[in-house]
Amino acid sequence: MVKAQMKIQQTAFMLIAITLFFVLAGMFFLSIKMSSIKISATELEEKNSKLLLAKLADSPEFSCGASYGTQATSCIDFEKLMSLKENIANYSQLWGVSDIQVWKIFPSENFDECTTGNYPSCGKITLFPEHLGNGTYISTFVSLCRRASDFGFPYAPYDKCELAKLMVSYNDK
Amino acid sequence: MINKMKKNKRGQEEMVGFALIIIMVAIILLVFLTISMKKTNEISESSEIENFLQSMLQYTSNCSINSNFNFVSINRLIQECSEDTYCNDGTFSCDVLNNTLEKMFSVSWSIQNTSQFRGYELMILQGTSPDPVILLTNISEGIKTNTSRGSFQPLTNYEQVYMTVYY
Repeated sequence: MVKAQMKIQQTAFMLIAITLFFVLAGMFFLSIKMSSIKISATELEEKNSKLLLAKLADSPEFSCGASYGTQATSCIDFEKLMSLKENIANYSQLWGVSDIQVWKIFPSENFDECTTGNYPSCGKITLFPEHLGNGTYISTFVSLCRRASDFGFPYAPYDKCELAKLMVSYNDK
Repeated sequence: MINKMKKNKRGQEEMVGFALIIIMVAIILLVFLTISMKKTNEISESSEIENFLQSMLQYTSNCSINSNFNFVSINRLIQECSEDTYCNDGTFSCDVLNNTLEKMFSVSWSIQNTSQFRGYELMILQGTSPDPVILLTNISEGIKTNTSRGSFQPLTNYEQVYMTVYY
């Protein structure tokens, strides 16, 4: 009887020890898995942000379309952008973002805000200046294109595309 | 007495066996964990670099071909460089391409202590594998790490543009 009880006790202790071991191993494995889920969630959010930028850059209000040769992607029409800036009040709720900026990266003469007075020798266009600095900004490279003329229009016009960055801010959730 | 000693020995044997099983399971788990967490040196695609390459190729250079105001894009300039042509002002198309890209990269991908990336490399090749001809390789800066992202753009006339950014 005592022998049987001893055997049962031994088995019970062994089962508890094995269970504890596998619980500890499982917790360790889960903590590693959870951290990789966090990384995946961050990557997904980044992907969604990039999709938003692509949607904006290719929307008719910004896109070059076929104006500068063949249909180009990641191309923003500088002249459309200036026109949009003048009428931005009609577009405030269209894209669901807080602020949109376009910065000329190369060649960069200055970072003056573009107006009808200094166009095109300016460096930055801010569409919603009242929301400047609000939210998180994401950015992508775009081509900023316009018609240019070294001798003044309409003499010898040509297509001029420069490197720029489209920056969009959205409110954090 | 002898039976008691045999019982003690049996208990010890069982404990040793149990400990061995635990150790073997722990080693197997560790090996499995190491294999699953091993990072391979793969270049993953990046939409930011892809957008940069597309925008870079559309950039209007200072090289005019055929007439004084026919300034060509980087895309066209790469083709002109592959054909060893000269711009209207007498400069070699490959020199204009190289200078323009160097300045563009130094401004757009400026490597600083606070930047996320630690190096970049741009390669423009012409021809098909297995023996493409390298047109430009000296657009690079910083250090090459095991974590990188890149993108690739095929052009007409079998030119290919590869860009890699190291993090």
